[in-house]
Amino acid sequence: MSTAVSREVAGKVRIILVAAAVLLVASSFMPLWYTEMESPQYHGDDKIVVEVYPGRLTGNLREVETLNPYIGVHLPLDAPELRALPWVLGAFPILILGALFAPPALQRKVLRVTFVIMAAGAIAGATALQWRLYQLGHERTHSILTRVPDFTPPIVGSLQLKNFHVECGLALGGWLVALAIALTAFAWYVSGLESIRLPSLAMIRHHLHVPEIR
Amino acid sequence: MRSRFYSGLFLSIMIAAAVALSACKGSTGQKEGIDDLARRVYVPVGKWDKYYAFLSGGQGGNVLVFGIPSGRLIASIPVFEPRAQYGYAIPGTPSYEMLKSTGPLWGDTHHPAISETNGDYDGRWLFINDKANTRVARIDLTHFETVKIARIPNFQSAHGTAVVPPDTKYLIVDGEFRAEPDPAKGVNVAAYVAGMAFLDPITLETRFEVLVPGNCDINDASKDGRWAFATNYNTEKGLNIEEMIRNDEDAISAIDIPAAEEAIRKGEFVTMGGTKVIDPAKTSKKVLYLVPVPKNPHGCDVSPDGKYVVASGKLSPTVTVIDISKIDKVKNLHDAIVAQPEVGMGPLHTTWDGRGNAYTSLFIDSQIVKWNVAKAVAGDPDYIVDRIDVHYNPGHTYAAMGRTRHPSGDYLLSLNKLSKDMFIPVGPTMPESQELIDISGHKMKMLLNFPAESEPHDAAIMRVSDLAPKVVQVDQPVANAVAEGQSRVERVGPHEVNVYMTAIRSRFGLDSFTVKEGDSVHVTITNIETVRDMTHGFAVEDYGINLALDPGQTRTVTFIADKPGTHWYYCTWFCSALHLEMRGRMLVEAAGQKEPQKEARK
Repeated sequence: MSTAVSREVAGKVRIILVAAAVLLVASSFMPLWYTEMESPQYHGDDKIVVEVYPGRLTGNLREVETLNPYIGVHLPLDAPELRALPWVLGAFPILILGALFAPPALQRKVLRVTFVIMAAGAIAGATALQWRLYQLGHERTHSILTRVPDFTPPIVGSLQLKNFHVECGLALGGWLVALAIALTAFAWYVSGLESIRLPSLAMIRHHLHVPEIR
Repeated sequence: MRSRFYSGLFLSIMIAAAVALSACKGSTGQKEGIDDLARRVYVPVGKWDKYYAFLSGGQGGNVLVFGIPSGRLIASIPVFEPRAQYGYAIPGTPSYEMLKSTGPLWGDTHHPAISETNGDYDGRWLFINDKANTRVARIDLTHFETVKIARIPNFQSAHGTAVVPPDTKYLIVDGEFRAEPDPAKGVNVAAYVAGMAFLDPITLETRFEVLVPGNCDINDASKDGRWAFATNYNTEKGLNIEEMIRNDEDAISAIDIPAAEEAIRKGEFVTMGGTKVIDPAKTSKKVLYLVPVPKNPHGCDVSPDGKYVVASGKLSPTVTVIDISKIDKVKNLHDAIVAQPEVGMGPLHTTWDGRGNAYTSLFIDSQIVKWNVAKAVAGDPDYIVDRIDVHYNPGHTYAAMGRTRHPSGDYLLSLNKLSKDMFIPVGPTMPESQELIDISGHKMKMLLNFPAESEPHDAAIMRVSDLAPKVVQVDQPVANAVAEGQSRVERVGPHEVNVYMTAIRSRFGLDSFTVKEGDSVHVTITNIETVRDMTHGFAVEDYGINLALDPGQTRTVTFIADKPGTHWYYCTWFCSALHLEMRGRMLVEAAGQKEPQKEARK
């Protein structure tokens, strides 16, 4: 069903894929996700920040662990999906390399599979994170403070947990992974075109009604 | 007749009303002025003061730290007196050994001196003397903690204390009282000496001493590091007050530091008390110049431009201005004196604004007088710029960044000896009175009066922006730190036990530990907190022990478990919602106790 990628777009597809692979490799050195906890006595320089890197958590985990008993939560420091993260993120650029060097007749197919696997991986990761966040706020042991109701921190968003304002979101590495997945999808789209014409300077001028300078 | 009476009454009422009205107006004007002054010293919540003012604590043996311009007490640094609150110098601690090995557990601090690099305060150390026991201490300003104490050999009473610019080559300390250098051999009036000690600023070891006739009072050094100066009273070498004030002239001792170093190199010294001592009468090159000044001078201060050293007259209403460059050039040292302006009664100390003005405290007049140095030197009779009343009897006065090459010229502190009616009564022992004066304009303005416990003598005022970035708030663990999960008890001898514990909200690493009566117990605790301001204490009931452990710090205390039974230990620094629960038990089994008590648990 899928046809061979035309010669005209093959080069461009390659550039897009290389860019996606570079972003993925870069993201493995960056935090993917963060949470910031702020309260009257933990603000400014004292704000507690935890970041999820591929395979590990960083930040003042000691302080988080010291405060956790008050509400009876535990950081899932040894969660298997956290340990799997570097392998998963390491597999993505390999898949992309596969697509890059696939024979032209198969390249579209390989690209589609690559995109689907990566998108599924991202969704699975986000689901696991949200599940862990739910667990964190619901499967609590006996807490020191009384009358702290269960809670669910969002992946992206904020939460008021007693005196703490908790802010969560994608960190730079997370954005890079998302961008790499989008680029892969874009590469797949481009690979189906007969030809691709990047707008020339003259075309841009024409569209913007800029008179030519003589 | 009657109408005349009424018209007279009417007139009187009108006049009274007019007077009252104008008085009201006057007081309104005054009130606006007060609002304005209040704004100058108000530091909004969460904002910082502009300056640290380090004040010697006098008989308290400590150093007090105030914020300027707010006058708020920020810290008290114990130096020569134990302070259990900070776990400082309580028996069984290293700081106790440091203090005890140098003399009594009390001292009398007078003159704080901040270390300098390139002629400006570098904020590494603060030095402080102990007048009572001839000691000097170094405070590490990264921690605001006393780290070194040393006794100065041969002399009695360490008074004037200053650093030698531009890079703190020496700490200079005056040995004030005249006494025999070797008291162990008994009283020997003929051998009495006094002089100046030159100390290594890090080890506080006395590198050498220079004997000076009479008593060394206050000191300072020239900005280029060539000269060390001290006011020198009692050149009569008298033993009572009548003898001490007999002559009309005393001196400023000017010690030529390179000449003294050369004398040491050439071996022109005697060794006394393990220290090289220079007798200036016996060196090949002149080491000591005695510049004559009116009798019994007090303050000794070098101007920021390094041109002059001035002696404040005390008994003479003058300040003697000496041209430093002339000291080793003139035949008659009277000729090094370039001005002797009359400033008022009882001039004690002089400080600077960096704009060519000097500020001298007048003890008897209860004033600070501002005078222009260039005008005084030029013989212009109009050298007095302004005077301001202070309350009462000022001793030292110190302008912000006053001993650097660049005084900032905005604030001046007057450290007054008496407070009388200044504060709410607290019994016959009265708080000491400090006054903050705005010196940024032509006229001085009184801003604030704030109390301190007795008794600050002198101050050193340093910019917060220069020091605050260097101050540590959370320490990194040291080599002997107890790591998490490593709390344990080790019996290392038949009567010796080592206890290792962590401390973090809200428990000690051990809920209890057991020792035997008579054991020598070493308790080492590491505060494994990683956030600032989370200090924990460790107090043991009826054992006189309290440690203070700042985040990351490890402290050890050693004691004999001589009281059997259960002794709860607990955290003394309020740390968390479970602070009260942060405790444990030291179980001391009695010597004759056969079987340890079984825990009764529900």
